[in-house]
Formats: sequence, C-alpha cells, structure tokens
Amino acid sequence: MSTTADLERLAEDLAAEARPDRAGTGVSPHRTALRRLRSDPVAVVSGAVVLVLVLLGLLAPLVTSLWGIHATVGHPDAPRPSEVLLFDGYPAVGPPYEPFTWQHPLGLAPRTGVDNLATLLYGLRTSLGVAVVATVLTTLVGVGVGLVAGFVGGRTDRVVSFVIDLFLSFPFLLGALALAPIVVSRFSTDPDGLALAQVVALVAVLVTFGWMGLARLIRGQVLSLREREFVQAAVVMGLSTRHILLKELLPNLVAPIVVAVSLSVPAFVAAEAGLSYLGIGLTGVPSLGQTINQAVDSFERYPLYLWAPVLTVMVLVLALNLLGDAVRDAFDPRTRR
Amino acid sequence: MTHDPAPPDPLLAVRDLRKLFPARPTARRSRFQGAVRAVDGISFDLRPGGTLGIVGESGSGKTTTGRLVARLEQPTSGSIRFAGTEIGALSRKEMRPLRRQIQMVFQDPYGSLNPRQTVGTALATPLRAHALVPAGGVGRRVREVLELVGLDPRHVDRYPADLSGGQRQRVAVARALAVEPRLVVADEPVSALDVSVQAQVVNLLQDLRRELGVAFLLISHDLAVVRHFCDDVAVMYLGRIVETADRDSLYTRPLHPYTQALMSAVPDVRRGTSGERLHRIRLPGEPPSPVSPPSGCRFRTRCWRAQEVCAQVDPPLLEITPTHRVACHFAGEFGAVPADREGAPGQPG
Repeated sequence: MSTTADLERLAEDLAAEARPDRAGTGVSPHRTALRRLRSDPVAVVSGAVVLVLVLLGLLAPLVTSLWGIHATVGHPDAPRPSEVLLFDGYPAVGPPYEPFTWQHPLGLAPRTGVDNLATLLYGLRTSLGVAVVATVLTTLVGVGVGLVAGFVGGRTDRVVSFVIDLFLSFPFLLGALALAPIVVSRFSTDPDGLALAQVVALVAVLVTFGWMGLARLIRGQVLSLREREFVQAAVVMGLSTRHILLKELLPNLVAPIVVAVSLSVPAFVAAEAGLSYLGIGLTGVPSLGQTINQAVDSFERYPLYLWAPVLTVMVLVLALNLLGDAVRDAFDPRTRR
Repeated sequence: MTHDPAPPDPLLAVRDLRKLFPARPTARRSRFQGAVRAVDGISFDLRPGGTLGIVGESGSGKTTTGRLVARLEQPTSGSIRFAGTEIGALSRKEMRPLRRQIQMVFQDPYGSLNPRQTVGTALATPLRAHALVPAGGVGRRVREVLELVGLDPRHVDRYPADLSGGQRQRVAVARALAVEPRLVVADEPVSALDVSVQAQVVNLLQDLRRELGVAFLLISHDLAVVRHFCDDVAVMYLGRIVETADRDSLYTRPLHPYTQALMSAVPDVRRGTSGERLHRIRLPGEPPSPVSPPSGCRFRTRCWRAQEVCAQVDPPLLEITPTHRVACHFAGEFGAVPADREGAPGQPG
C-alpha cells in the first residue's frame, strides 16, 4: 500500500465525516456531485445561458414564425430581396443605414435580404445539433474503445493504442479539406442531398478525429481501476466480462466521461464554426461559421452583421466551457483549484 | 494437511505450483530477461472445512499463492485440484461455474468494495449472477448475510464511503459467504484494520467457519492472527514453503531457522513480564531477489547455520513427524528432535 493511497483514503474518510450533506445516509456520490453543482453560482449562470441558447435553437421555427422573419431566400412569405435592398446590396431597413427596427432586430443580410436573427437562430440550431451529435458519437466510440482496450489489455490494447496514435498523428484539417470538395461534387446536382451529406460528412469528420482523447483517458482509467480489488472481487465472484465492464467499471468512469462531454460540446461548436468559416463545413443550411464567413466582407460598412454571430459563438462556447469546468469541479473535487 | 493414516480427500490439493512473472513484459527485447519466480514449486493440501495459514514476509509469494488458488492468476506450471477438478489450466470461461465455490476476501476493505454501489447491490450481485436464490428472495438473503456478519440490515442502502473500515470488511466477508463457497481465500483480511477491530473480524471469521464449515486459506504476515485462526500453517520464503506443520507443533517447536527467526521477532508480553529474556534472532540483510534466487537453499544467504552443503543442494521438504515437514539440511540436529523422526534430514533425499 503506497503512502499516497493511504493519504487519499484518510482524506476520503475525513471528508466523509465532515460532509454534512451525506451524514451516513446512503447518498450516491453522483447525487452529491449534482448537489454541489447546483450550489455553484458559475454553474447556475452558465447553465442558464446554455439553456436559453439551446431553447432558442430548438424553438427556432417557432420564434421566427412568431416574429414574422425567415431564414431562407425566396420564402413565399418573405419580402422579395428587391423590396428590401438598396442598389448597393445593403438593406433599405434597419442597420447599417437606417435606425434600429423591431421588425428585424439584427438587420438584414446584404445581397440576399434574409433576416439576420432568423439566420442566427437556425445557425445556433445547426451548430448545437452538430456538436451534440458529434459529442454523443465520440463518447460512445471513445468510451467503448477505451473500456475494451484497458480491460482486455495485451495485444488488443497494443493494437488499439497504435490506432489511437495513428489517428492523432493524422492532420485533421487536411482530412476535412480533402473531404469537402468530394462531398460537394458528389451531391452537386441535388441541393437537399448536398445539405444532408454535408452535415453527415461534417459529423463524420468531427467524430473520426475526436474520439481518441476520450478513448485514451478511459483506457488509462480502466488500467488503474482494473487492479482495484473490487474488480478482482467481481472476477472471483464469477461475474461476466460484460457485467464487469458495464456495472463495475462504467459507474466509476462517470466523472471523467461527464467532464469530457461537457468540454467537448463547446470544442465541437467552435470546430463547426471554424470549418464552416473555412468553407469546409456546411453551405446548404444556415450555420454560425458560415454567417461569419459571409459577414467578413462587409465588416467595414456593416459591423453588426459580423458581431452578432461572433458574439453568439463566443457566449455559447464560454458558457459551455464554464459549465464544463463547474461540472468537473463538482464530480471530481480533488482537481478543484 | 493430510492426517495419516486415513487422510480424507482434500478439498484443495496443490502440487508443484509455479508462477513466474516475466521481468520484462515487452515482447520485443525478449530472449532471456529473467523472470520473477514469485511462487516456485509449492505443494500443500487443505481438507474440507480446514484452515491453512500461509505466513511469510513481503515478497515471499504468499499473496500470489492465494491469487493462483482463486485463479486470478494463471499458473506457469503445476496443478491445483479443487474438489477433484483440475482448475489450474481452466480458461476464464471454464472457470466461471466453479467461481462460486472459491471466494476471496481482500486485504483492503477500502478498495474491495465498488464505491458506486450500495452495500445491498454489492451483496445482491453475486446472488443474482449465480441464481442462488429465487429473484424474490434476494433482498431477504442479503439481509440474512448482513446479520450473519453482525451488521445492521438497514445498512443495505449505504455506500462504502458511509461505513468504517471494520464495517466494510464485514461487508466484504458477507459478500464472499453469500454464495455459500466451500473455500475462502483470505489475503491479509485484517492487516488494514485497527487492532481493536482486527480481533472482532478474526473472531467473526472463526465463528463463521465453525457455523458454515467453510475451508479457509488465510494469508497473513501476522503470526498471532494465524495462530489464533489456523489448524495448519505453512511458512513461505522466496517462493517456497520452507516449513509446514500443525499449529501447535509449529509454534512450540519451529524447526526451520527462518521460522525460528520469525517467531523470535514476535513480542511476547508474558515472557517480557516474567523477566525471561528472549533470544532474538536477527537476520542479516534483505531477502535476495526472486529473479535470481541463491543456489541450493534459498535461505542460506541469511542463515546463521549455513554450511557448504546449503549452497550446493536444495533441501527438500522432509517429513519430521506426520504433520511436520521442513526444508532444511539441519532440521533434525537443532532444537527439539522428535523421537519418531524418520529419514535423515541431513542428507537430501
């Protein structure tokens, strides 16, 4: 028994005694973590911000139709571009030339005349959707691969570790850059198919290059958990490998998984925006990065057009990151600053 | 330990068991890098309901022996027969149906319970896995075994973090016994506990052994615990059994120099108060590396009786009395020599 383990145990004992919220009455460690999370002001505020943004994204169709704005060019109810645009392509109502109007709070896009708020809401929806799907898939792949590699060990572990290194060494941007034109040319005749294919390709790229970190983390955790006596006890009890993986090991990995998930959502939001800005990501559906890309050209005359999506991405990523940090502190008090 | 003349069929019969851990696990720079000879050819028997204590210092291979018997490790060679079945070479899958009969209690009650499981879940899991009780009766059985080990049945909803070390070890014992095993391997079951709690847990194990008739393989460095609990004792040094005997014989007449040294290191209150001075044997140095054990007798590098023969000939485990066997060239020439001693311990057979 090493001294650090003894000290940790002692600390654990003292903490168990000192914690009034779990005074000897069977409270699961995860519930205590949630309780800690709820009493953390940073977590509450950032959680509220995330919740509002998620709701706005989810309810984008409802909000836009209530407001009477539209995110697509040539929508039958939308005003025709010629009605709302001046000769130089800038909108005739709202910024940058005219004063603020509640009809289009963020103004209209130059050249297309599409409402910026509507684009923003739908973009938020796309960004969050892509990030969430990518996170779920990377988590499944990463946790699965990590569990098996760590527990089975031996040759399997060596092969998996090599594959992880291989994927880590492959340049992510290059892969994405190479993939985008292939997808575009393949589906160029079919706009709906193109939009879907781009989403799928984007998620695939994010997942393909996003699972290794978590897999490595989980593998390491399993390697140390595997030698813990409760896992040995489970083997002696004759429990199946599946049971040991899912019922004995997985519950002890919830904290690192939750932390990884909460930090990977903002990373994927940023990655999606970045890729779309570079023109590798989505073009068929509105997205934050794509809007930023288009707004850069007219920044000098029409700064609001750029600031709105940039600030939205910033607020979203910041709130998600702060929430992720708070989650990590709550689930893993030892790493608290 | 077999009791002549009519030994009952042993529950556990270990023959020439070996476990080598490669000193360098990577396959690339293979050829010969040597191996840690953790357990190097040991044999012993354990009758149904019997208790065998294995004592020795750290690195003697006693823990590895326990893990081999519980089949947490794969033996390098040798045989482990459990209730007539050879289990030494069984695969993980083949072993599973037998698992119920061999249970294990671990040293560290903080590590042997899953921190994310309530006591109830920990106890119900093996019952469900082996379908020992009908689904409806699991809860009742869990409460039963909790009472059996002297815990309040209300503890079912507690998490390990809510329990003290002694309580946790009781839960670990309850978990091992819930599936009605025939053999329990207890690896240092009380070493991590406070002294006051140690006695409670040892007494609990003893009561349970009497009530349930479970055989115990108790692994410990604590001679007092082994003396209290075990009928038979085997002393291990550097992967070998150097002396094995029934408890009384071993504690009153230790024959191997190593056993004598171990015994002399145990403080004795009675002897201290009576003023009788105990001759304490100090062993020089540390145990040699198990990667390259000394030639001949493994203990010779620290033995005050070592002669030339010890470096050349590995002493076999010779029978001094039917229940007492020693691996020393000079076992018969020192201490109390039994009258009915057979063979010539000085000459290797």
